[in-house]
Amino acid sequence: MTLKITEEGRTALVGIRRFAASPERVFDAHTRPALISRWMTGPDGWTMPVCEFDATPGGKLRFGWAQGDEAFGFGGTVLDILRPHRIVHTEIWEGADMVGTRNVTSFEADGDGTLMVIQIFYATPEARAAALASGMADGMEMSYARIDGLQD
Amino acid sequence: MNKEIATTFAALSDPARLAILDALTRGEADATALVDPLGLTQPTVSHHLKVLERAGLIERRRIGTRRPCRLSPDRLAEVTGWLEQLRAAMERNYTRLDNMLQQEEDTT
Repeated sequence: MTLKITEEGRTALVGIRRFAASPERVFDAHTRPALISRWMTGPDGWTMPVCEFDATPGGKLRFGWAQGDEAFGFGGTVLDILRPHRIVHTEIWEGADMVGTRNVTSFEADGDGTLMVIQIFYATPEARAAALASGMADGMEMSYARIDGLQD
Repeated sequence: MNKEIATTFAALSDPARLAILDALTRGEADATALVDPLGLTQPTVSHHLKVLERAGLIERRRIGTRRPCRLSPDRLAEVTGWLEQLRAAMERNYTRLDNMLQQEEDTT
């Protein structure tokens, strides 16, 4: 099942994705830097030189991608974490003129796999609107362009 | 381009304006025809129509004193396009995660 994203209420986005692995393994892939950096690598041709995730309440996280002189990334704080069920953390894009989000990610066993639900809460409807339009887009504009190219 | 889309999403982030767009999916309508079904006042509907027009979500013709409104399909397509781009960007990561989980399976 590929990712589905929908708008929820006035300030949230919700993503749903199934993986063919146990909740423990999917959870670890989201919380151990050595694993995160193997799949959250961004667009082709980019590297992920910054990948930090302190999987404890109050722990800091930081992800950064780079290609030549260009770079983007985000930082945040882990608010609540319970292996293998739940991660609650904040995310603030660096360099983007926008407020951050609070993300609630849950992992539930689904047969022999895992159903992951990500809720991304913005502070205001305007923040969600701006994020969809420019925040993620500015940060990942190049990756989108690259993806478009790859899909041709 | 991005700024236009931001204006569009801001315009969409209001229940009354979504209700107006929903009403317009049934066809072109005057502002006065939207007042009763939505339970809004005339000035409120006029305000929302201005926001929607500025965001490029609706178009308004002028026929004498009438200003009928209709949906502008191009901009709506752009909006769904941005959500799809976000989805596609995230999905590429998750496809890589699928492969990683599969490889681990093979080696354990």
